[in-house]
Amino acid sequence: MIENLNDFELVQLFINEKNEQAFNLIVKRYQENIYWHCRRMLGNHIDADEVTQEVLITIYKKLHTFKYESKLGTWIYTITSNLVLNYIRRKKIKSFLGFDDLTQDIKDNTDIIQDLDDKLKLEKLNNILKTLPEKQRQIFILRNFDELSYEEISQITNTSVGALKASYHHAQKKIMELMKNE
Amino acid sequence: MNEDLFIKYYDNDLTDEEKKLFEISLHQNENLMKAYSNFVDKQNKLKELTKINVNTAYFNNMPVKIHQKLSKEKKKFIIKSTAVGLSFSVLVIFFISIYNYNSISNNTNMPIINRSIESTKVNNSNTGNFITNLNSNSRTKTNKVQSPKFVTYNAIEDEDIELSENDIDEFIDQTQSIKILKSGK
Repeated sequence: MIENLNDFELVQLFINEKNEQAFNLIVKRYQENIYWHCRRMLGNHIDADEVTQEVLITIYKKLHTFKYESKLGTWIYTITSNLVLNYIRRKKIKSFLGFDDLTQDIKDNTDIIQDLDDKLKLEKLNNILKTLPEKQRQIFILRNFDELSYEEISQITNTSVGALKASYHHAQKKIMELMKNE
Repeated sequence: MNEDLFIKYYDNDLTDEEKKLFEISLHQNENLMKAYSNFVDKQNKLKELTKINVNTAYFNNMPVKIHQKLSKEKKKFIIKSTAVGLSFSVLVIFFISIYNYNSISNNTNMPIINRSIESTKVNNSNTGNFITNLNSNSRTKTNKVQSPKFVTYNAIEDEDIELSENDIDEFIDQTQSIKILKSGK
């Protein structure tokens, strides 16, 4: 059964035999992690959906370059983090040039979260995370919510473990300060 | 100061020795224990914010969406590469035509030679088959008799195209023998 194969075996099956089923299984295993990382970084469904699809298409195209030196998850997080940061940069440039999208109204209607309480929870989380600079937010999310080790985050962000710890502790302090008012 | 310690302890970032010391002080100091419980509460509240129910259809449809997007991208790529190929071919044809046009109009030797051939032919018809070429442009300054056979050579000579002495001598010899034949001597 293809479902019982590990990540590396699925990658090999996809690359050597062009097995689309193997790719679909990789998507199923990682899509939620990718989506939630994007959603927490970007703060809304439309942007998160766009970047999630971009990440999965990139994985499809670049899977043959995977070197089996790290976990597949780490490799996928590296792509996700880079694409999210690029997306934020692009958005900033667009907003600076006055090309802001007018999709705010659509955002609420197409969201995959329908429960009002859940929406409020996520809004609260977004407001907290928004206070952190992007790089610090990325490290905080990878450590706190995606539960990756410092070594993995170091590979993903190409930052030393020491610098990561300092950045993470800084973010924790800020967030705890904000949580005092909750 | 305590907060740094809490964060490190919670994050499992203390050495075994530091951890032991911290745990001892937690048990001994009630205020520290309270502060730490408060910190853990906040952490739990933060984690609680991530427990959210979502529409599972979104994730179930994701592989289909990705494959649709990929096939759209492939079609776009084919259209784009065809368009690029076509425009490149048009450009190549355009440049080849320009090049050919220029090379034809720049090739001035041919018309001049042709003109010389024509003028020599006219001279021949006016003065009979034998004409002495007294062309002052001729470098050889040799009288050459023109027969239809050598019209082309003379024309080339007029245009300063070099002919060897032997060739010229040969022409003269042939001309003289023709003259003798004609006069019947």
